Amino acid sequence: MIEVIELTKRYGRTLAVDGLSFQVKPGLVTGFLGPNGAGKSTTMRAILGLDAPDSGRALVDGRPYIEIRQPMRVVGALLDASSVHPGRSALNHLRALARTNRIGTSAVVSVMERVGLAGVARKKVGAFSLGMKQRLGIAAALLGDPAVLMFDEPVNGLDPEGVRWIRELMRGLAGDGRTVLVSSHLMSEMQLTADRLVIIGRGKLIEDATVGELTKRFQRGVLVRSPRGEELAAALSSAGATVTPEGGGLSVQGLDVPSIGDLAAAKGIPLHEVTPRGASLEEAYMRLTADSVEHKSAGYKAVAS
Amino acid sequence: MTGVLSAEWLKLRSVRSTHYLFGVAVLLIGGAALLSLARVTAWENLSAQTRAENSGGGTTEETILQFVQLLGGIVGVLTFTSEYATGLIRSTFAVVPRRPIVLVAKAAVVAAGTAVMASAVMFMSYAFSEAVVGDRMPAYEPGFGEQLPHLAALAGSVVVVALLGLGLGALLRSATGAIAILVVLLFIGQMVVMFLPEPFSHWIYSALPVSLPDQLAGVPPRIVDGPAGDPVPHTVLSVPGAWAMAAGYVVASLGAAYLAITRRDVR
Amino acid sequence: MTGLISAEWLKLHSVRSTRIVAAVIAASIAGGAALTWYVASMWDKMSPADREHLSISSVEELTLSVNQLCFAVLGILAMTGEYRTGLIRSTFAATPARGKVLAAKAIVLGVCALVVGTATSLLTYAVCDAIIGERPIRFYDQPVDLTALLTAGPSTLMFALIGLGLGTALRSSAGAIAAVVALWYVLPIVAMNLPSPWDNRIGAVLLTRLDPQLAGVDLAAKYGADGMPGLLLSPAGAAAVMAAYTLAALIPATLSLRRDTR
Repeated sequence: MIEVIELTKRYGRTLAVDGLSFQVKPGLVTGFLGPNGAGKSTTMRAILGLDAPDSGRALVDGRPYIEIRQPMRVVGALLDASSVHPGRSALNHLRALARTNRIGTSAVVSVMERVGLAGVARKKVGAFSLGMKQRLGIAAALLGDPAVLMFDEPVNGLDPEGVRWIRELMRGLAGDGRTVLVSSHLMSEMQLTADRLVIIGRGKLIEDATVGELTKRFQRGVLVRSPRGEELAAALSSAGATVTPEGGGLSVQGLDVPSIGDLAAAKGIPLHEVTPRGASLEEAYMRLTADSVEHKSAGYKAVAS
Repeated sequence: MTGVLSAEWLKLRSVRSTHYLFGVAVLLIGGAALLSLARVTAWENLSAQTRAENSGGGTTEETILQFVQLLGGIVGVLTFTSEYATGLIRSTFAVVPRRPIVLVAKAAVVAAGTAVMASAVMFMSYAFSEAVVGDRMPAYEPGFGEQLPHLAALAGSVVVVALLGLGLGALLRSATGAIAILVVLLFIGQMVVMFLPEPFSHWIYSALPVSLPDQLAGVPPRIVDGPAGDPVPHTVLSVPGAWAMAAGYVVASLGAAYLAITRRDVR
Repeated sequence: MTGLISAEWLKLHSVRSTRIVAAVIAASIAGGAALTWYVASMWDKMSPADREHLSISSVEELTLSVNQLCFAVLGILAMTGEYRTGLIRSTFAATPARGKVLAAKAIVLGVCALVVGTATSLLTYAVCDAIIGERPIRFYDQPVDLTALLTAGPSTLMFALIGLGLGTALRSSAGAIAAVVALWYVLPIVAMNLPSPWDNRIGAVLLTRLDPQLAGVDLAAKYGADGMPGLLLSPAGAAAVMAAYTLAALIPATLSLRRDTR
């Protein structure tokens, strides 16, 4: 369980995180979403005690991270996969980390097997591809068999097979009852992995909801066409729906497709089209964060002039 | 070419390490003035007889030379190693695939930047020291006109070391390794030659960057006896020989850098 | 703490720079031996009158200088290497008590410096003494001063920890190396040029002048030169100054650990 409480962090004059509060619960994959520069990495560093917040707190299992005696056994984190000494072998890199938390070499070996690096254990990390470094970073996070895991943009630079591997790994970790927080700037990725979404922009919380809730919230109703449109509109309205005419058809909100079909059948009104129109989560995300995107793409004209 | 040049100039002046190094150079000017004050006080405290028997040493500018050389050398080293450390070198070579052009631009920018820095340090230090010392010490008795070639040679040797640093940085791609070699060349070399037998000690001493300015400006060898009575290594090169030595440093360094960046993969 | 120490030991011996430093130290011993061998062979060819003028300075002082700088660089890299690669984030995430990380690094480096510094000094002397043999060449014709040889250990230790402190506080190897060079080389030049008695007073507390005083060796008496400051500090005083230098480097380093790890 991770709790972020009224967290604020500024670097010089930029406010990176601004009074942010949310909770990450065990047994679920929580997606931590926001455009680039929204404050995701800063929040994760603050949770790990790497950056001292200006105000507010971040707690792991009810206590500040820096008070945990052997933190790798409680929290595993992947921040930046390229943060390794290029001249050291993968095995030695992990062994050095493991020793600091009194984790045995057998755990190192089994974690390397789990992430598929056993064959290159003695190779220098400098020669690793980005995907292999990503696996090495995940191995480091898993070393202490922690109940809380944090991954900062874990699928960056991975091939499709690597992306699927990470997705399944995270689902599996959550399935074990662990707390999993995954940051990303891509909703399409989180949609497939996360159960819950924490969306931030400019350091502030925008949304904290389950994927299902968000999907429902951004339903834009059902498009219905019928030769007896006025009659149908009256019937739907009296059943509690909001009906607005739209391009010769009706946009219906508040009733789902089966209810609309049943109602029309009961009244004997023919239907020519019934199309549910859910906004994709991607669109929902774009709309939610539209105001908080740090670097808006300039239009072609602005660039050309 | 001018585009690459101005890009390299922008890179040099927009990083913090350059600001720090030039800040240290400014501090050195103040330090040199204070050192001159201390030296002249020490000199005047000596008895008239001791003063008659001794020279009182060289100018303060000579005293701080090696440290200024080290600063210039670090500027040179970092121009390549910082790009390798951050991976920026990939973009640099991607946008300018003709790598020798990058090398030439970097060398030009480093040479110009360190020439300005070293000249500022040497001439301003001289101006302050001259004001403080006047003609109270033998080293400052000759006027500015007579000192000019030597001061220019002091500054020029810093540029040579900076280009040497550039080559070492390109070759080793590691700031620590390249700076370590500079330290050996600038500081340890001088200690080691003390242990070497004659005449090798004089030859190697003459080849060290610290001995370049005297020889470039044609200052006669300063033959001093060491504690045990045997002569401490002194310079042996003629003025043209010294210029050839300086050119040799630059050519060898840039040549090695050329081979390193054109023959090896970037990674 | 033992876990941290063994982790730091693993980190130290699993990077190339450590092997390079080891090679440089070995080369300095070999170079010193070659030099001694050359002087000895020269002595054999000389006339008795010329032999009077021949002397060989203590080669241990040369290998000590190399050790001092090498360990200062290792100390610097122990921290700056982690900051440069970003590994420091994993290190501090694994051990949030950052002071302990610094302490573990200091212990590992310190023990290595002490052992290697002492061993280098003893080995250099033994090799050179064996090469010189019975020849009465100046500075090798006196009985061995074991205390003086043994001070190489603490002196190397001090340099390693000063390097570690500077590297931690500055987070940049280029900056920290320049700072060490300033302490090691530039300060003595400044001290030499100060008015008496300050030249000797400041000269006596310079980094490179502490080990002879720790052993009670009077350099001025040994080499008979005016340039060398006399014996100003007692061995205990020299030890106190060495400890003060080390603390002066490590305390700002400890304070700087509070900064954010970006």
